[in-house]
Amino acid sequence: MEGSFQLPPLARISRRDQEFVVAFVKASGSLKEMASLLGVSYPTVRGRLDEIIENLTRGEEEVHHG
Amino acid sequence: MADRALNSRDCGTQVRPSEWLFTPFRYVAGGTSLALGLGAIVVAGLLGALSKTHFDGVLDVHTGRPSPTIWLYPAEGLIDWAALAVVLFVVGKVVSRTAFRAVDLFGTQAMARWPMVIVTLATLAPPYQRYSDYVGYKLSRLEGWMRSPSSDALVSSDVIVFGLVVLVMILAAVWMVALMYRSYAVCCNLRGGRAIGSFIAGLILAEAISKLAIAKVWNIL
Repeated sequence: MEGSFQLPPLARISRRDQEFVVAFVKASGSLKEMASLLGVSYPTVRGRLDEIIENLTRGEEEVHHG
Repeated sequence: MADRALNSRDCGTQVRPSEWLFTPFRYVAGGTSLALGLGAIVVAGLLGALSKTHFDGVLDVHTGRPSPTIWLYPAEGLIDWAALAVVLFVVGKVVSRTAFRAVDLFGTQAMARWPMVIVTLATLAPPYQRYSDYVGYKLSRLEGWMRSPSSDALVSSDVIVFGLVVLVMILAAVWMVALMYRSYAVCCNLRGGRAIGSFIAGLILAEAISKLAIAKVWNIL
């Protein structure tokens, strides 16, 4: 495939972040379920989600600023 | 795949002992931590009643002063916990950009006080009690009021045990503050200077509030 195009936001984040997003969607977006699935506390999962939100936002800003 | 989504240090299956000592809140929070923490505060208070150990401030441990009621001992611990948890909740809401749950902060702050159980167990040692009574008697003479001297004769090794228990108290207090900070940092998702600065400010404010509140309770009784 050739041409100039932008990657979708989820493709711009790391593989580890993508895996978290997929697991999060599969858990119906429940942080509680994610916490129990991963064997960690709710605030730990919340912190990881915040980190991904930050990475997504940074990726979007980089695209907008060229 | 979900396991890989977090750092390996975050996975519940690979918990190192040091993590349970200093960062247990990575794994335990919410209602579980609240139940465990409140249990630890009450147990520390009731054991404290046996050795006349008071937690008369968020960071304070004092021994030797008798209390008019046994319930004052656990009540002091509960006041300390509530003062710091409420202050850090408000500070966290101002400083943190994340939406955090009150039950996590209140629960983990309660659990952070569990090293005080070790302190009260250590202060139960008879040599510590004897030497503590002796020091209290000497201090009362210096301050111009007379406290009755202990009826138990001092043993030469008492001072060594007294020193060891004081060391345990200091180490447990440092450990408790480290846990309080970790609780705040994990629950409010804060890091670096922002986390440390706001935590220290909150701790100083909570110390003042708890001292005032406990003094009021003493005056009422």
